[in-house]
Amino acid sequence: MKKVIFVISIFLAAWNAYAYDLEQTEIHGFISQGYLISDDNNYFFAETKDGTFQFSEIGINFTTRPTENLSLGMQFLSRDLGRAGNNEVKIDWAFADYQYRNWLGLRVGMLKVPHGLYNQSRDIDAARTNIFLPQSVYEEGTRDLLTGMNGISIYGILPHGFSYQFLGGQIGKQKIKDKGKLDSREIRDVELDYSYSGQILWETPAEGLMIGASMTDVSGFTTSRDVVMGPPGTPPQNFTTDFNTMAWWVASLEYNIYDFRFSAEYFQIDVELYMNPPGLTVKTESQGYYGSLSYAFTDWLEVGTYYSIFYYDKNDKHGDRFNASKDFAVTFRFDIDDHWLWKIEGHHIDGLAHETSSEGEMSDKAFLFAIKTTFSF
Amino acid sequence: MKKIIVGLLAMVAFSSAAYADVIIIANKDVPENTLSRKEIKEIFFGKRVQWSDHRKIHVTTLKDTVIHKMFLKQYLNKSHAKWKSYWKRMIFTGRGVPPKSVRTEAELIEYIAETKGAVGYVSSEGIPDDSETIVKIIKVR
Repeated sequence: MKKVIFVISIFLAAWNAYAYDLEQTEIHGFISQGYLISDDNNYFFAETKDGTFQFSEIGINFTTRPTENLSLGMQFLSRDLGRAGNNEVKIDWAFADYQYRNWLGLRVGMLKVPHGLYNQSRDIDAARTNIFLPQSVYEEGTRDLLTGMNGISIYGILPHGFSYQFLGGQIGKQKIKDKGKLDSREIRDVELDYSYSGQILWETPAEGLMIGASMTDVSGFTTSRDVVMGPPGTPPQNFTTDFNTMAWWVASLEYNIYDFRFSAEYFQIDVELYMNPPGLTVKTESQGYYGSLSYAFTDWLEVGTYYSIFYYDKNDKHGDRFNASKDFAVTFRFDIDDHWLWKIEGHHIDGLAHETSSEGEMSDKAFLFAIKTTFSF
Repeated sequence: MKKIIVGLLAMVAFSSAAYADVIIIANKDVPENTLSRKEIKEIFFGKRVQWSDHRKIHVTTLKDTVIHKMFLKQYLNKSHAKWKSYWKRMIFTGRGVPPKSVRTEAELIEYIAETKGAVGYVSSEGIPDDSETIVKIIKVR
């Protein structure tokens, strides 16, 4: 029922006006539907090998400005991507934003984590050329974990083209439980410590060139699961995993010149976890990077491509076929008007690090085709 | 060599003329008399939100017009599509809402004249001769 009301509210809002002011309140929304099919393997937690329409997003947001320096806003998001999302309506972000000075603003509430250049806007299909961001840096499996943190952030612009944001808070137990479910590991309980995230961007004196760095540390959380370790009928045993270290950083570069956009990012995540039983410590250093180029031929046609490489264990680059994923993607974006767009995208994926849920034989290489349309107002 | 110098001079003259086509104007109470291109970018992208006296900046733009596109190209180095895409990113991440936009230059001048902290742009043809009595023309450095 909740879903129905949610969808109706979006359509009513869209029906009345594309985007309108109710005194000081702005309402905006988007709705998208896509289709995925691969010639082999399954990707993005969906049955892509059979072709799937389980690829949709609906969002609506409200923003108001009670005073000149204070704004309040929240966004509801419902998405579906195979086993992920399942069209549950969730709060995507919700915060109060007080801008004291150009160099200092304060946000309090559920905030988006500044991970690379595009994580904060990854739910917004209309804001980028590609359907899927490069998975080496923006893996779909961690999308919900990375989108929201309950806490406080400070941000602002500084002289000489610098800007910053720092965020402290907690990720939210339910997000970790949802991630466990996505990985077919039912988590019973989560104990959380505080998490931190920050980003510095520099718009260099070279016109159109921006570089930046971001880091996030969510170390110090423990998950508990009930695991049956024995023949049927054996009572489940408490299985805990202490994530003593879970920290990542991203180095970013974006260059805009004329109607070209080039971007490149490098990502590294360090994880050290202690599993009990059996009392085992595991350390992993994963690495991802990509280069991306897009060109807007006209206001209605943009073509983009990227090559993205990910290694689950960066110290074992020639390891088994599940360790790496190399993804070459090409996208055509067609803007019908300011509110409606279509995208067509092809991927050639080499390696199985991002393959999800296939059974039986898997191919080392596969093609994935995606088509998506989005309406936003 | 002469040809190169003439060519370069022509380019400089052309670019100066191009910049003269779109003029940045502000409310007369705005403390700034000059702005750098970087500051104009920060203001119109919603990153710089206060003037030097800490008063709120109210950005005003023209709806999808030739002058709006000229302004985007000349001052922000963006196409209309990229401009829309940027504001969608801001809207749906809660980091800002697009500037107020009006249909005509006359409306824009009227709004800027009446609104403290307002800034916008008009074409050199669209600004009346007595405009400096009601708005401030910002020099771009």
